[in-house]
Amino acid sequence: MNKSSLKLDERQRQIVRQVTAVMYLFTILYLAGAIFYREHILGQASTEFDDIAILLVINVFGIGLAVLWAGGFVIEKFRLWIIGTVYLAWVVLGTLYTVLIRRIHDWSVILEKIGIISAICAIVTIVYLGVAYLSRRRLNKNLE
Amino acid sequence: MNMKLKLARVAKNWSQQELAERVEVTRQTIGLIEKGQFNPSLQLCIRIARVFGKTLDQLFWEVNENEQK
Repeated sequence: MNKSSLKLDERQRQIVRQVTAVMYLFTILYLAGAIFYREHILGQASTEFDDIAILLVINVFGIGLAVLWAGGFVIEKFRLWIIGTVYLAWVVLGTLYTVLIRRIHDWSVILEKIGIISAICAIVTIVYLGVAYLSRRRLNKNLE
Repeated sequence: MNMKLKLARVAKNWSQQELAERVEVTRQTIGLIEKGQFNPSLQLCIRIARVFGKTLDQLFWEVNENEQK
């Protein structure tokens, strides 16, 4: 195999990127499926698949960071109501997911979970906003 | 279908493989560009135009009906 046969042209790189992105999405779905299967079919305790859950969280969080940093999603104006809406949506979705998946019925436990989820979402929002701001500044600096 | 590119290549008596080697892509990429099934980047268009000694317009610009009028 010579050197040129290892060198991909732009069409091949495009295909590799597209396939990689799709397979990555499938991997995330497989991992989520594995968690669901272990918890609800095999009845395992959550401590037995914490590692997968942590990997999933890091990956999904990392995608957001990478897309923001690379300039895939540029926030031109930081409007408070949009940030607030996104934050609230994350808290509501996170709470619903936790309550439904964990089948929590006790209100005191639900409130406790809301507190934890609100804090996590606040940290994620702040980090994302910081990266979005730095990324926009970097991109605009390169344009000048 | 990019007939202009195909005609320019045939006029030079080059095969798809020869053109591909000159612009450092695979033969399949040239074939797909000629069939209109792959949109090359501007950089690749420029490389192709250079090896033919033509402008981008001469190789890639498509005149639609409104422009003709």
